[in-house]
Amino acid sequence: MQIARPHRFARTASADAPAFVTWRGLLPTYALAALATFAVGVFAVSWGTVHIAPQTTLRVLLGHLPFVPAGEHSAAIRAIVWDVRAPRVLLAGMVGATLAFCGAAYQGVFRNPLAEPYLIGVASGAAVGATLIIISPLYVTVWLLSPLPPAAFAGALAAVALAYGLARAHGRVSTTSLILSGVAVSSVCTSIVTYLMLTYNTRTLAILNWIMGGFNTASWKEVAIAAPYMLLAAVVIVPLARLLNVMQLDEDEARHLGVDVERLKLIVLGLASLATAAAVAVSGLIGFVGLVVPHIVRMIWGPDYRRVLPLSGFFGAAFLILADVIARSINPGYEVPIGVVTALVGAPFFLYLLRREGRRGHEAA
Amino acid sequence: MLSVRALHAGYAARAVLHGIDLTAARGEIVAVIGPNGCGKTTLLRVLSGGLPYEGNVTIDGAEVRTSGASALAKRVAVVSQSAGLPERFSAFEVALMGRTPHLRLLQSEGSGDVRIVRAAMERTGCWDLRDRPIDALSGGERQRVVIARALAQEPDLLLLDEPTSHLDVQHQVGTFRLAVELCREQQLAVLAVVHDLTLAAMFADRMALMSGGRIVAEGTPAAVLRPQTIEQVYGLAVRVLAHPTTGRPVVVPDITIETEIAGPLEHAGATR
Amino acid sequence: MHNTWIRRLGPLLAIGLILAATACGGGSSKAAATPVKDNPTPITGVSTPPAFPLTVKRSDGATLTISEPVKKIVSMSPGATEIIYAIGAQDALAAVDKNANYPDAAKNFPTKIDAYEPNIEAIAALNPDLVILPGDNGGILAKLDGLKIPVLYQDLDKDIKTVDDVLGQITLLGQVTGHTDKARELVQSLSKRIDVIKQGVQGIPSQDAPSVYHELDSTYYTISTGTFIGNLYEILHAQNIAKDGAGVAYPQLTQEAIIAANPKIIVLADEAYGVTADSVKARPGWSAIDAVANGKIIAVDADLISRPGPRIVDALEDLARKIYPTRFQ
Repeated sequence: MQIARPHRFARTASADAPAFVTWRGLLPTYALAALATFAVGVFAVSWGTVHIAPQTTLRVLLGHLPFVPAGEHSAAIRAIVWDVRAPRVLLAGMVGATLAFCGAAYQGVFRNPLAEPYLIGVASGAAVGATLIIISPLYVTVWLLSPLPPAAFAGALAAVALAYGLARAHGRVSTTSLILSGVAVSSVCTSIVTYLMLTYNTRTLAILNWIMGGFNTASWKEVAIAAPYMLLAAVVIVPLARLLNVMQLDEDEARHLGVDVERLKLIVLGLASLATAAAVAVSGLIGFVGLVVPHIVRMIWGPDYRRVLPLSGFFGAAFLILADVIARSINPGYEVPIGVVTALVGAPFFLYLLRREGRRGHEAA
Repeated sequence: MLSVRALHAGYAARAVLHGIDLTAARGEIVAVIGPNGCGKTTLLRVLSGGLPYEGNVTIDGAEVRTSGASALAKRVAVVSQSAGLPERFSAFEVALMGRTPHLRLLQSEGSGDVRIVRAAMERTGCWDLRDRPIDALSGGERQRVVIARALAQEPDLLLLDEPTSHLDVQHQVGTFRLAVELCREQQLAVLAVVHDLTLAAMFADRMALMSGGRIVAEGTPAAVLRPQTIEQVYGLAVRVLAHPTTGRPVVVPDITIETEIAGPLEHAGATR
Repeated sequence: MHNTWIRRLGPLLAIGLILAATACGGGSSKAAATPVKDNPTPITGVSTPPAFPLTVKRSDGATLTISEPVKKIVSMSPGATEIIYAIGAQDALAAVDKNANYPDAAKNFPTKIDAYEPNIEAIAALNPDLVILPGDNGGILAKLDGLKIPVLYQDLDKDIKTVDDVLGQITLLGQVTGHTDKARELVQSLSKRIDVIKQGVQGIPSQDAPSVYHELDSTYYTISTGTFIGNLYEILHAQNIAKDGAGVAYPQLTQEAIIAANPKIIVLADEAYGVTADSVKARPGWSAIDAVANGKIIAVDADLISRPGPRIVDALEDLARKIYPTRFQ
């Protein structure tokens, strides 16, 4: 049984190997998911209090492309489709994609299925930033330039940087310390916000309104503000998906397989936090998406991050777009806080999947 | 192959290794033994690139300190006692992760990688488990997948970090037998940290006994495992017998008459 | 964390919605809540001398009995505080809510209570013979009842839905403090001013009644017809685009519903927070709204319009002048 080094016995193996994940093999899945998400988006733009036929909607949207005749539509229809619904749907999709994608990335780095993108301070930090602006005399919208998104963004990044700095020891950041310092920073931030809310009680509604999140004031401006951060996170983190798989072994094992674990953590957490901060800055705090969507994706498509990350993005987008459609359809013309919808729709579905999964595991055993 | 010269290393506040010299050649299996806290694990961390150090540690002439993580992982593979096992990944997918250091950032595993992994899994006897979720395998089965993953790295040096401490005796012996075979077949250098002195003696070509961050005895099992040396290092009186078939040393505690009178169970616990 | 806030501040949210974008709050009785058994005084009617004991139905269904004019009031409602000053009963005030800012004497009142996080000990220490409560925040009603402190609890949201309710509250506070005559005079003069407005808008054909969007904050919270602010627009024959708000007193409109409703007039109650006619004009898509195209974006004093006190009539007159500049000078 004289067999030499492994690469030599490579020749002896037949092609009888299990299916395995490759980027190229996933392209059709991505394309399908993108198409489905786009269809959900078009549906959402056509849907609303004011009945506008889908073909009218499409014609108004396409009219904004170069060389396509705009057609004759009333100013109100054009305003509703192009200025209100289109950016609203797009922003909901972007925020949903970001929260789910970053939730998946956080779960990958922390190797913890309960990690969510708000875990290490993004949400509470953003809330402090937003609250400080809301109670201050600076909260004056000069034309369309509101100081709120930049303040929330800065607060989010400051909180995450603080949590990261506190957890850092000897050039390494243990994920356990990071979760603990994140929880500590979050509690402090939450207390600050609660205190400010009670002290400046005339602004309580504005603060709560921001915390509860939503897309009622979405415009192309928010889309433009947030998009670069979200794209940056996607473009950098998706190629790291295979390394996140290896991270699931554990940090030492990943290191032994040649993964620069500290750099990977810094890049993934840094960019995911950046994108989440941008999402929170333009939409407030929308719970549940970042936690549940990656789970659902994993339950259906398995644990490989090359599937989990992009599909969480698409699925998160579709999920939040539909949640927003529901939020503006329960009482036509009036808003229902979208966080209520994401919890009401997401939680039972999640429980159903968990139970189904539990039963399947039981039967298999 | 592996060459360690005047190695000093430790953690922020505490130096652990005080001048280690050690070598391991291709096709040679070296067992590192020593009581808890003697620095065995720290040594392995240095060799796998997980800890800064002073002195020289070279693998195939390349200094570990200046090797990138990926380059090092092509030379050194580690099998540790409790590998983290990600839920729901199949045994094949876990073994395939051994190809990580050979892949560029956006590169996917190709058919060449699959052949290598298949051969490694066949060699370690876990190819039949390939579609099973890793978390559904038994301890012994997982260990074979982990060794297959290490082989898939195509390393020159295999580090075994107490690889059998959680296994049944037949899997302990099986794992070391496999390690010896691989060591010879593929001309790997194997460095194994082992608790069980007798088990180590059974398979090692050479042994290094560590105590207080130094190597206090080195050589063939018979040369290292002497009753006086062991008593000095472990603080336990032992007898060293010869294995009836191999003649290798078998280390047994030297139980005294009083101990037996006092009650074998409680007292055995107390003297440990 | 998000959930913690909602759990902790849920009750505040309810109040916050009432208070909407501005410092206001405070409430008291409603016409229906004024029924004084022994003394069936019509809201704006001729007075009968105040008869004690007075019984008042509270918003929680309990009955409050007052045996003599109260002398030590803790008013948690800025609206009630304004009324008490207006009927000259301010000597009976022991403490006012932190948000009370009118008249100046109330603003500078030495003893203030935080209506959001009411400190029950601070209230009890004042030994009041009446606490005026506009909302049951954080279970304060039960605590005060437990201490046997008389509470006039008239929920701002449930029981003050029209301008008449505000007048009824003036009458009630007049009776409670023994300032019946002063209260009656005030109600009569306010009613007279309201009648002037009503006459001024008489004969406006319904197709000419302007539609109005009343903005509480920049996320499009508004008021429905079932509120005393909504009632102002009814008096003015203006069509509130939020209508009954699907049963919510202070609903949040979707942006497209506002654009589709195409209001002729936009009323900003959130100017204090940086919303201006210019910033409204700059909102994408809003140029399709008639009010924006025709420059009919008007600002009102949020304190004035959202506080159920005597100055609600000032707010009504102000709105009348701004909505119908040709009819009212």
